[in-house]
Amino acid sequence: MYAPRCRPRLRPLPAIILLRFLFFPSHRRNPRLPRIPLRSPAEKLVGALLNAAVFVALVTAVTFLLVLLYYYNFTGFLKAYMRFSAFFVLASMGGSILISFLRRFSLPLDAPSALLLIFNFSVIGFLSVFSNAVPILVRQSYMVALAIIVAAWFTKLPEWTTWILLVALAIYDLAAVLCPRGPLRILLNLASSRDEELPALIYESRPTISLVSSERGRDQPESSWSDLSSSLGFSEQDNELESTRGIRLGLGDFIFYSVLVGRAAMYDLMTVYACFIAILSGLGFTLILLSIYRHALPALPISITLGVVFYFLTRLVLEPFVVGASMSLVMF
Amino acid sequence: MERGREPDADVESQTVGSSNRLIRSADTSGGGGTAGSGHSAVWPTVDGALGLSEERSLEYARSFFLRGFCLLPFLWAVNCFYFWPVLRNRSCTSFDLIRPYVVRSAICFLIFIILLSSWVLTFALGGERLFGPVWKELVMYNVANKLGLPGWM
Repeated sequence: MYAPRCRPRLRPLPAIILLRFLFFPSHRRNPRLPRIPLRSPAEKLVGALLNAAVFVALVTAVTFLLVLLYYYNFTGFLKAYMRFSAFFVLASMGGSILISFLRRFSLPLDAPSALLLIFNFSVIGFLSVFSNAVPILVRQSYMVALAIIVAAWFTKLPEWTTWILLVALAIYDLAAVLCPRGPLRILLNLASSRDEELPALIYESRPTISLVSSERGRDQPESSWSDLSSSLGFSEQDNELESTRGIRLGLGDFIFYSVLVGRAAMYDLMTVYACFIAILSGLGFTLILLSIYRHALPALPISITLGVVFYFLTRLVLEPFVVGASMSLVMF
Repeated sequence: MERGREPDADVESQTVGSSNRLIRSADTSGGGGTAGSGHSAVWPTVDGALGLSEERSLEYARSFFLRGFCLLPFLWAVNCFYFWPVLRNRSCTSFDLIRPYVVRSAICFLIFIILLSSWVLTFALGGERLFGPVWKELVMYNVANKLGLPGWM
């Protein structure tokens, strides 16, 4: 039963993708990059597979470390580490992006103001990760900003590595969440058995609030109680506000969706549109599955599969057709 | 860049059956058991019922205001944004403890913005004509080049 009031508003996903594409447009032939010697496809493939294998191994190891720390109740350390990493990413990687911006457009911003702005930006991000006193909108915006910054840096990976990495991570995600011994599954079971929230960087859509009034007298088995209360002339109504949890999406998923679209942006605008639609429909399909299965599901596999398939179809099949047809003035 | 620090890949379900009830029932702030008065209580935060209650928001308002003096003026802005209902509702007496801090945060943030924008505009528009060779020492991209700070592209 899917309650209709739980309408998840995942507007930031298009926002991220749009922002990412607008701010970091495609540079197909960047004259500033040094010429690297061309390697054969076989070498590139082997290199990419090695890179992806190392990355997935590292991710698995770190996730198991996380499980261990959470199992032994080092939750305070985990939260502190996540705050520190959010601060560091915003300050160093976000700061680098700002510096590149200033250089590229030659904006005459002075150093003290720039440093003050970066410092403020990072500290409020640091506070917004786990604090209660920050508005939900600000917290969501910071999650989006973190995802954009990390994805922007991820696009500096070489192309073959990026694609093989995305596919490898989708498979890893599937295994880690659905296998009974998968690290993420263990983490989620631990958290739910302790009935507390996982300390994690998660984007949560705004929970919905509704007013539920329940008459206390109803729970009493004896009818005499309710007779007594009605005879006394007051009805005890418990006006409680009930909130349902929002839809949650891990920040890693956001980042890899953005990496996919970013890499598509480095080819052509057509691939961007194709991948954008593919990812959103994959996400929608995952949400449908979520409402059927009612437990945590991996968000990466369906979207990444659709995204990769659509990227290669667009690049290899659609683009030559459309460009050829328009240049010959046949269609479009 | 480790990904493992963010346990990702879960789109957690909304468990409709076991929805979390908020800790406070709304009629305690109104006092008395009259039905229907609870949901008309005004929340001090812009998040409404999802935000802080009045008692806890006082300490946060104060601490954000004081921390803003440590070169963090945007904390004042966050304070004002978060406690916007407190600024708007002058008549509601239950906010009288929080209001001074929020008003002071707003004033300090306005002053800061005026100072910052005047300085930035002077720096940008004046340029070397106004400042001389010091301008080149102060502008951010030169400082970044001198310190060897890496750019993104």
